[in-house]
Amino acid sequence: MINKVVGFKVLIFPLAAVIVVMMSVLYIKPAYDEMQSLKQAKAEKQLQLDGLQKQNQKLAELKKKWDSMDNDRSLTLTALPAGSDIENYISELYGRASRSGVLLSNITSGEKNSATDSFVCGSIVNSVVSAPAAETAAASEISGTSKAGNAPIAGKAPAVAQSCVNAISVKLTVSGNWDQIVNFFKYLEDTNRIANITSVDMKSGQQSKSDQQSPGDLISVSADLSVFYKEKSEAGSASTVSGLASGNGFEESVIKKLNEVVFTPYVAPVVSGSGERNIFK
Amino acid sequence: MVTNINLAAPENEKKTMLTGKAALVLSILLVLLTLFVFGAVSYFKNSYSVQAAQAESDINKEKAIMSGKTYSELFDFQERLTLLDGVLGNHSYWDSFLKNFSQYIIPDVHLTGLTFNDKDKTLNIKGIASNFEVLSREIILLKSYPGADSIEFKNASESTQSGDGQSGVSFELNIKTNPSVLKK
Repeated sequence: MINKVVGFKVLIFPLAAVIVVMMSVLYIKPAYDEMQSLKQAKAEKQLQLDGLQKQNQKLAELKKKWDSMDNDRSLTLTALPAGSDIENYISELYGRASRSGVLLSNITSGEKNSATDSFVCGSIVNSVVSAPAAETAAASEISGTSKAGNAPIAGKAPAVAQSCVNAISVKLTVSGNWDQIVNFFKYLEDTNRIANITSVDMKSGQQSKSDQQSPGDLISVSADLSVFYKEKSEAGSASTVSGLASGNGFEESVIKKLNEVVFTPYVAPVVSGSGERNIFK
Repeated sequence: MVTNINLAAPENEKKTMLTGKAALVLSILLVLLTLFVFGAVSYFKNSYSVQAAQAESDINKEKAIMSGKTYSELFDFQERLTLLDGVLGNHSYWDSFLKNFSQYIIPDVHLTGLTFNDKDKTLNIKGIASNFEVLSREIILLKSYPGADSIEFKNASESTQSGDGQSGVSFELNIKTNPSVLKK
């Protein structure tokens, strides 16, 4: 009897201790670890949420600014329209040819098959660099995780991988005298819709027997132009979103440059004895 | 064999500090404390889990606003600007080029053809110089043209009457231009 009592008294506390240790090891420790990781995850998410809220706030401010930029929006959309709309460009081209006095004898247009400029869709550069590291990095920045990769931003609207412009090739042939040709080039440069001259072939015209003009008075020019358009995107690319959301604002230097190109006052070509002259005559 | 245990001995009384009841109560308290700790940890775990889920939901809402239609026009505008920056970077100014280049063609030389391709940035010129001396002066002058990286002489031949009815030295030159040649 004495042995039994002593045994119980001696064992009850160690038994309780063992139970406590077992509970700690089997239940409390894992629950505690899980709690810690959840606490950390919650803190990270809260941080990310705060960042996103700030970014959305900046975007809201930017939207207000954008709403007041009517002229700049119109200028940009005219310079780089959402559709190919080549008829309007050709019409503008006709107008400018007649204003400069050249004779527009031939004009053809078609989708550009090959381009080397990185910003043109389907260019050699684009096809090689399909997923730039910057895009991935920017996507990571937005999602707040380092493993975001190319994952959609919101799960609904996927981010566009990389934006590019579509190019249309316009080939034209004009003829006129030196001043008219220089005039026409000037008009080509400051069209409301931006077009880049990719190749030019100039030839002095042949003198006809009945013509009073000397050789070199009539110059024939064949030019190849790239006219651009960009389809409206429903979602911004990751780099664009992160750029604007981080408070960088719009690239106003481009708007300034665009204004300079489209609205540069015209300086008439000077034909002087110093050499600024018709080089075909 | 008889074992003599003197339970009433004073040294034994000192050793048994824990009575049976006390051990039981202490053990129960210990177990209850453990259960309380477990409960508290579980409570906080669930609480953090709910808060994390809520934060996740809020993040998705914010992201949906950011990438949704609210700002899509904004992003489209910015993308247009970025692309226009590239387009304008390649914009060429042919009137400036012609006016500038004409200063490097001496009066005794006139061109019959001028070809430029943006891909290889090479300017091919064909023309007629009144004589070889004029042509050599022309080549020397073109070497000082800031837009020329190098000049390659292709050919030259004296002709009594060229295609456009003029006599002189017909020549052809290739000028490797630098990228700034068509800029303002």
